[in-house]
Amino acid sequence: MTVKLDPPRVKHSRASDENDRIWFYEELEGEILDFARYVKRHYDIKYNETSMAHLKRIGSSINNLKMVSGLGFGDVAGIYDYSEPNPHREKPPLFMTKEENAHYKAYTVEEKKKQFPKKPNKEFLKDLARKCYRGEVFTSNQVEDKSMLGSVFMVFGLMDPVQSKDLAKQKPVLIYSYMKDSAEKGINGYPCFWSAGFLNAEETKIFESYYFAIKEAVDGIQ
Amino acid sequence: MASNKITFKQFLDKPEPYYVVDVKYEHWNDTVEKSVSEVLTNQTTGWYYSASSFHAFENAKDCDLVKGVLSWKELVK
Repeated sequence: MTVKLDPPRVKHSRASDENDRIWFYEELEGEILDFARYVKRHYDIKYNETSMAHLKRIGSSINNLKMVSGLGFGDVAGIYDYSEPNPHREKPPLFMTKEENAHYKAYTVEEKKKQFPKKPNKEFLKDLARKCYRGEVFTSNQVEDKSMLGSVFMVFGLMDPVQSKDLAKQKPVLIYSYMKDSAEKGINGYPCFWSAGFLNAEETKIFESYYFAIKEAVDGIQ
Repeated sequence: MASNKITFKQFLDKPEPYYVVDVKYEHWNDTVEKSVSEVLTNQTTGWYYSASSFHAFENAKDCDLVKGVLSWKELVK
């Protein structure tokens, strides 16, 4: 069983505003007193002279440590000053930062539930093929230089590796986007999109069969 | 010593769970990158993938290597 403790309630001196070491000594003092309080309650100790002598000795040692550190920083007076704290002081000091204010974001990527391949929606694919033939839909098949795909379909280009890994699992084959959603400016003659969808291998096969059927039918008109 | 670094293609095939440390852009520079890269090459215990400030690890304890480098930079400032 893991026991999580609340941080000790410590009143910090003004010397600790600038001197991290004093800040931690004061925290340590608070932690020791918290522990003593817990032991007293847990074992129902009324008063114990030996314990008091021990606590006094610890307190005096911590005070000495604070004094030595304060002398180094030239802020001994501040050790006994408990006036209003500096509102700009970072608490806890920067090198004891927690995850939320740290210089990084750390997380675990857990195994996701198995995703079953979606059933192809033939009506949707027929409509997509129709729109693609009319030039209302732009697909990755129309991008000759495949290194440009990330610039054309920005949303895929700007994914972080975790998102790319998730996407790769779904095995996309054809990326598409609606021309009405294209950005005002394009790159190298290609349009740019901030939103896009994709088809898997099975859907792409159906889409292409519809597309070429439409093309053949239109070409066949005399 | 052989590095445990894997390519993006290999990363795509790695199973979950894996552990990520993504350093914030404003705290990422050439010096940090060099230090992190050296430490990871020598001390990782499982596979890892790095792409700029993004790092993914097979073992959770390897995340501490990146965090350690960042804390060290902060301490010596």
